[in-house]
Amino acid sequence: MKKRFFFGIAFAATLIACKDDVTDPDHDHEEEVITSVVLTFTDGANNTQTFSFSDPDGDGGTDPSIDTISLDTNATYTVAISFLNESETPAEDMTSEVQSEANDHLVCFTTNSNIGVTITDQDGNGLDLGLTSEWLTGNAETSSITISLKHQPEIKDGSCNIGETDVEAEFPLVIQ
Amino acid sequence: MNQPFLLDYIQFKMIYQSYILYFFILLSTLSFSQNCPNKIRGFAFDVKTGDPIEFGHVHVSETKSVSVSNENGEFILTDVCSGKITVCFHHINFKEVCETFNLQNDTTLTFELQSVIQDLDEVEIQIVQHEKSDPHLKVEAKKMTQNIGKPIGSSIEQVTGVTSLNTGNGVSKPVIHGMHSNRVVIMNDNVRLEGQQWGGDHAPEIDPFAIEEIEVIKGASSVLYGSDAIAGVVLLKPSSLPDTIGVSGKFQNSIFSNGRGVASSMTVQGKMNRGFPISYEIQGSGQKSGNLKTPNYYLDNTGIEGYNLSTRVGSSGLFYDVEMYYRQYNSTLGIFSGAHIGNLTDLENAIAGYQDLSTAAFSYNISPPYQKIFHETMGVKSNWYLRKYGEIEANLSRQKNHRREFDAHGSTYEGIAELDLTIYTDIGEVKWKYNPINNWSSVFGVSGIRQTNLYKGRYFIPNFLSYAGGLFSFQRFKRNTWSYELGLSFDAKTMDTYRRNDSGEILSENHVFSNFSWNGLIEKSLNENNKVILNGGFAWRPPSIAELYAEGVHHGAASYEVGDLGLQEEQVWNLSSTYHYQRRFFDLEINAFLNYFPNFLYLQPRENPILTIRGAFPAFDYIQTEAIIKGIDVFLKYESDIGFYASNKSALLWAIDESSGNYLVGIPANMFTSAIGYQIDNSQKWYAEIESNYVMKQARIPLDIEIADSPNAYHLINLNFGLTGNFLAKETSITIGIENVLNTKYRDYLNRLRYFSDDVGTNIFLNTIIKF
Repeated sequence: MKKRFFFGIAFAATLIACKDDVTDPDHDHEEEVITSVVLTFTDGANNTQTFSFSDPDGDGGTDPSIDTISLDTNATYTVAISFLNESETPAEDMTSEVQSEANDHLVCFTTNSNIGVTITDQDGNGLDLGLTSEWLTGNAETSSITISLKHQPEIKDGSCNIGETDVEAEFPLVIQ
Repeated sequence: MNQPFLLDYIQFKMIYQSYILYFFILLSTLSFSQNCPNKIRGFAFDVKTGDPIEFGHVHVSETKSVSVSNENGEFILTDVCSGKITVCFHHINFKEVCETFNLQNDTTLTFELQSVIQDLDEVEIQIVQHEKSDPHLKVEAKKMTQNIGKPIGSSIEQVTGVTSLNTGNGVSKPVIHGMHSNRVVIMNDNVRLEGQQWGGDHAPEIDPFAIEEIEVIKGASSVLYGSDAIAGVVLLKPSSLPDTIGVSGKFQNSIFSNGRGVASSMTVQGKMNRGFPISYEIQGSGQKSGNLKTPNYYLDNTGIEGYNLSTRVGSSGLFYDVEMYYRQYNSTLGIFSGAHIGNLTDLENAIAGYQDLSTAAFSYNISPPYQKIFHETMGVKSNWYLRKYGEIEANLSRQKNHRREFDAHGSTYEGIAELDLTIYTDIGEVKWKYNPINNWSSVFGVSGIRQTNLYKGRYFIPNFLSYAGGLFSFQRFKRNTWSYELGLSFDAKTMDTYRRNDSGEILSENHVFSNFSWNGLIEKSLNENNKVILNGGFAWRPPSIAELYAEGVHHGAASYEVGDLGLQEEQVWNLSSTYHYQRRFFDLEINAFLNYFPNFLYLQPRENPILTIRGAFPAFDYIQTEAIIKGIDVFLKYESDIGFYASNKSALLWAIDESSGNYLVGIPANMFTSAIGYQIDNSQKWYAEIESNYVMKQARIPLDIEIADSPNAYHLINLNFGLTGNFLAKETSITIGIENVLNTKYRDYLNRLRYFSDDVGTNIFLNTIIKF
């Protein structure tokens, strides 16, 4: 009889839940969140322009704001790409993270326009990275270009159709 | 076959050589054994004076069970076999009374006897079997032994009209008549299984080795399990604790080729007498398997690892049954890495077959993405037998479910889960089962549930604290060839939710839901071969926490899902009719049903994807719409007395969103399962069968909003062979099977991974059960 009594008490004790925890929800742990892609173009005369694709409130909510990339015809530009987390104040620069994990990342450029994009930086294994690139524009046209950041841990081989997509930003493109 | 497969075969053969020897030894010594778990309690009294009859002999004609009634006229028979039995009560001063009936579970009998000196016309016998079951809704023992190495969903789907929603092979949820998750209640040993069941990729946290019997309930008696059993209830029952002093046990093992896995379980149970009788059972199981293989390639990262424990202690006497238990479930499930898609572009590439899956190799390694689940249940259940006043059942339990999902996408924070949810559920219920008069059995009950949900890390659903309670009643009345059942319940739930907004402030909401639900059934036996049943009712459920609050990208599913705080409870009107025809050799059951939902909750695909920094994602909103789900289930079996048998199960389903006129997404295609076999079931016991599964193409989909077309129809052939005998004086069952014998390449519409890869190819398994 005593045994049963003891078990009963032990069991009842476990039923007392910690109610306080419920009313105090966890704070969001910031992780590697990228909310914006900023492209900085430098032309032959050292003039710079920036165009960005930005979604500071994260998925859903307000739609992302997207700049139209406006470039001159028949020109060469040096382009630097930065990735930011603008949901934080001040905005967190995620580009150095990508740089330090260069062997696992690749920036890909996809376009139907006539511009030529050449990646000018490499990772530790000699494969393209894409944080800096050179763009060559042709004649006047209106098109678009998609810039993707691919996360390819252990599988990076230079191709763009493998791995996770961390960023995929389509910019309208106007050459005039 | 390529080289690696040939090497697998050699290793395989070496492991199995010992089993082949074992097998031939077994063939030479075959004997018979049966599962007899039932108790019959009873009470005998003199019909004229009302005095209890002492020293009467009670026996079951078909077996050797015998008992003697005590000074209160009470007796108890234990270990009685299920099936048709005749129980007789005999005493020198009274006219012997016998009753023949179909015993399905624990039963109470009351005998009123006439003295030999008297000569009254009427002698009455009351039989109280509170739960009546339809044998077609139980999983056959044969199917249970074939599926011991698999997740519990594989066994449950053996019932006609039940299928599975799969995420690969490790995650399998039961789907009854096209409905699953929050519309199906799963009871594990009389405790409602509570975890994050709103998730289509969240499998039930059950150790299949611990389950002895599976039954699916629809109709009036489902109100006993909660108002929200809209599609039905799956009852999972463990074995009964032993009644005889001593120690016994069971060793179960499954080894299988696809995944190169092993699953094993050891059960020890016994009974001792230390002043009062104590029965106990300890059971533990573990499993490990690696990457699965489709006919052409391995599925990377589809390994499974798990270990479970169950302990039960109980005491049983003439007036009571009490049992305390503690169960724990642990599993790590790898999620196919090829399915971990970033966005719509990637999804479209995968659908177009752009991914190269042939590079994957076999491995036991599990890396992100994977799920890690812990589930613990503890409690007390008790039954108190009050002679003429019926029986009281009282249960109390606590569950803790901790689910963590690790996505491949969390590179800087390794070891921190994308989804980290803990939910505590405390349940208490009391039922009173009583027979007011002959042929009328009645149940009244009250239940209460308290739940606490806590999230950690990234928000997907909020914290909440909820209290729910219900009052329910179930009545069954039999008269001549008619039988009537009525179930009625009132349930209410209040829930307070807590989450933080972007500024870190706490947002809190309160929700209250309540309603009545009822279910009525009329059964008429037209003659001894034909029976017709008509069943109708109303059920409802509150929206799940995900339906109300989900917000964000669901990584594993490449979809963006949005809940709606304004969603109302879902209601359903149900009508079904069953025709049953049975005679020697032949058994047929046809069930036609119609469910009308004025406000069906479901995840509707949006026409346009949502644009995020990671690209476009297919977007889905939880909405309510008018819907109808209807169908027909057919079960047909021919069983000759010379061992040959043939059976067929068919399930047809139609589902329409009445508001838009579109078909509903995610409804199983029509399917037909047939089997032909030969069995010997007397002093020797073995069977051999060939089974065919034909699943049609699900053409009834809203093609303009679905991401991709449904897969083609497919046909799978399975072979099974089973043998039961004595080996070294222990009863042993061996089952050997080959699933998908023809190594057919196929995809199933209800497999969430169908966009990315084929389903699994051939699997050879060897299951062993040794009782000692």
